Amino acid sequence: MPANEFEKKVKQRMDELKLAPSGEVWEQVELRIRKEKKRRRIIFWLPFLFLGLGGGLTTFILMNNAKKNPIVKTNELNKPQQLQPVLENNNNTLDTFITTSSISKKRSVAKNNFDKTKSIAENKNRSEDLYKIKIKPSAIKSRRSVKSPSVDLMKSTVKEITDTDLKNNKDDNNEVKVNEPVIEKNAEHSQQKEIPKEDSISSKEQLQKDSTLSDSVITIAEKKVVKSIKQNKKWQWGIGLQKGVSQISNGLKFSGNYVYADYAAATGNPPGGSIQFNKPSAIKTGGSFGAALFVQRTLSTRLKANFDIHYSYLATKINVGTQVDSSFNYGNSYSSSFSLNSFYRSNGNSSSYTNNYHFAGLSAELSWKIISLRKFYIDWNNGISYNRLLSSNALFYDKTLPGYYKNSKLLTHDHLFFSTGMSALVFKNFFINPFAEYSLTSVQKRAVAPKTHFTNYGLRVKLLFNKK
Amino acid sequence: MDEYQLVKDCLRGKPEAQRQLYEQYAQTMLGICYRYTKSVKDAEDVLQEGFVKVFFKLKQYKQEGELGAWIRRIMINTSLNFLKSNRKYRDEMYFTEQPLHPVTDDDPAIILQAKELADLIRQLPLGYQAIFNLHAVEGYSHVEIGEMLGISDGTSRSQYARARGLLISWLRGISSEQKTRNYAGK
Repeated sequence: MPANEFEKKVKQRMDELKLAPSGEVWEQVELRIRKEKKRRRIIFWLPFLFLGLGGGLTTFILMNNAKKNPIVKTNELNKPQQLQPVLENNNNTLDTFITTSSISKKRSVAKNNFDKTKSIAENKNRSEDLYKIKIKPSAIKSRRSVKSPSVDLMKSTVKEITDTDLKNNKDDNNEVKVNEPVIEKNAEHSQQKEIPKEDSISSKEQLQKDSTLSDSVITIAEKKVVKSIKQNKKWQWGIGLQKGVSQISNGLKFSGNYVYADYAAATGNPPGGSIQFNKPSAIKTGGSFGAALFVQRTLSTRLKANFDIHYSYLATKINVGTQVDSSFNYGNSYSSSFSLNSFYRSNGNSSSYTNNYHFAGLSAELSWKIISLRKFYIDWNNGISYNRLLSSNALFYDKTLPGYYKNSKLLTHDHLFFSTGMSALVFKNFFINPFAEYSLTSVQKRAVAPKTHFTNYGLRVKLLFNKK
Repeated sequence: MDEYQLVKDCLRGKPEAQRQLYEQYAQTMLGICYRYTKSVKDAEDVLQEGFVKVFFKLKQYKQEGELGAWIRRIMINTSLNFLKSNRKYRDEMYFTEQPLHPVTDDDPAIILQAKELADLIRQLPLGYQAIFNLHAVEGYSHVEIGEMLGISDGTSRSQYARARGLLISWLRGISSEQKTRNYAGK
């Protein structure tokens, strides 16, 4: 502490200094407290939101994986090595008879296994109709060379039916009726047949032929499933173009005449003095367009993730009065002392002015397949995008001026948009996507007027390049 | 409402308590901000920023010292940050180590009112103004001031001595002028 008398006197006098602040200070403090509280609340809940989303997504993916696992388990339980002795015994029991009941029972097991494989094939590659595949007998042998464990399982199951039944039921019946076809759709091989006793060898051959055919079909189905899974797991990329209309609103409105304005009190005087107050122009919709480069990854049969880097242009229109080209220093409590080279009067509001907003950004989107037909599907897309305002010529209204002037400092430069829409597959790799997006952040940086948000809606076309 | 209850209500986010706290301290705090800045508008900007900090840092207030002193420290720090971050002030705020101005013992009588004296302090170059306020009014040592402003304590000392010298000379001038006026009046 300074011990000198002078400092003591100064301190004493300065402690007496009290100045009354203007009422605007408290208004701003109050406004900022509320704004900051809101921001902190969002920040507080954000990790939980991400946790929830992440948890949900993980659960979903895990559940999807769990649906695939039973087949793997079945394969493990019925390893081809364990069934090998049965296959070897096959040659010793050719002259036996087959009973209808036992064969039906075993065939139903084989059919169940096949149905499971069929189900996977259907899920993973809907555009292919597995049961329409017709295989020439000559082609079967060559295709049999490539087999997966599931095929071995199917083969061994069919063999098992044949062999064990031949062995166990040789004295039961003279005839055999195969009531259940091995493959229902394979009509020529699944007819009801009567096999005479003396033709037992040919009946066995017929059965083996059936099982061979089912092997082949399963082999192809398996291959298609594996191929489909591998293909779906790949990243795919494409380009997107969009065209629409944009607007600025003070809520979730897609039309309206709300005018955002800087109602701050001016501290400078425009040349020519103050002019009578005019009502600011209504904001009209303007055109919007955009281009994006995106990547896509299939997470499951119904869920896809899209990420893109994009440029977008939004615009709105207002009516302004005569332009005044005269530079002067202007300021208000939100933008202290800036120089204005020109501004637009609000008298008459006779000419149209387009407020342009140029954005560049990144977005993440999840697509949920809601309608799925053979060669057509509709996805529901929801996403979040970060957009950086690159430049803007937007005008602000100031009732004290009164008129419109540019001040990019008053604009929010970092925006968060929420988007939603439907995406329909039109051709093989061409999608049409009606969309709507809404900025969660306010257009203006300063809360001088009720918060305003961008709304943009229109049509987007997407072209996927490496879709097969 | 006592101070303890006031703080408690403010922490609960009660608008009326926040308003009361603001009204209780705003005038004194604007006086502080006024001494560090060059215009009332800037002082009000600092006051606004300072009170936003006060309300968001209120949970850090331990209720051991005086609430007024705690708010005062926030206002001083906010003022210094404003000087550092505002381009208009930053360019003007330079500190050079100059030879110490001899400190005279015959201190002038301060015949000015608080506002007039504050205006006189605000006439000082920005660096002098900040250091004079921090040392003479707030009572910070030159080492502390050095840390706060990112300068050496020697620089703080020399700047303070020059600021003090200037202020004393101005006060003497005002005092002698007053005396002349009084004499002429008689």
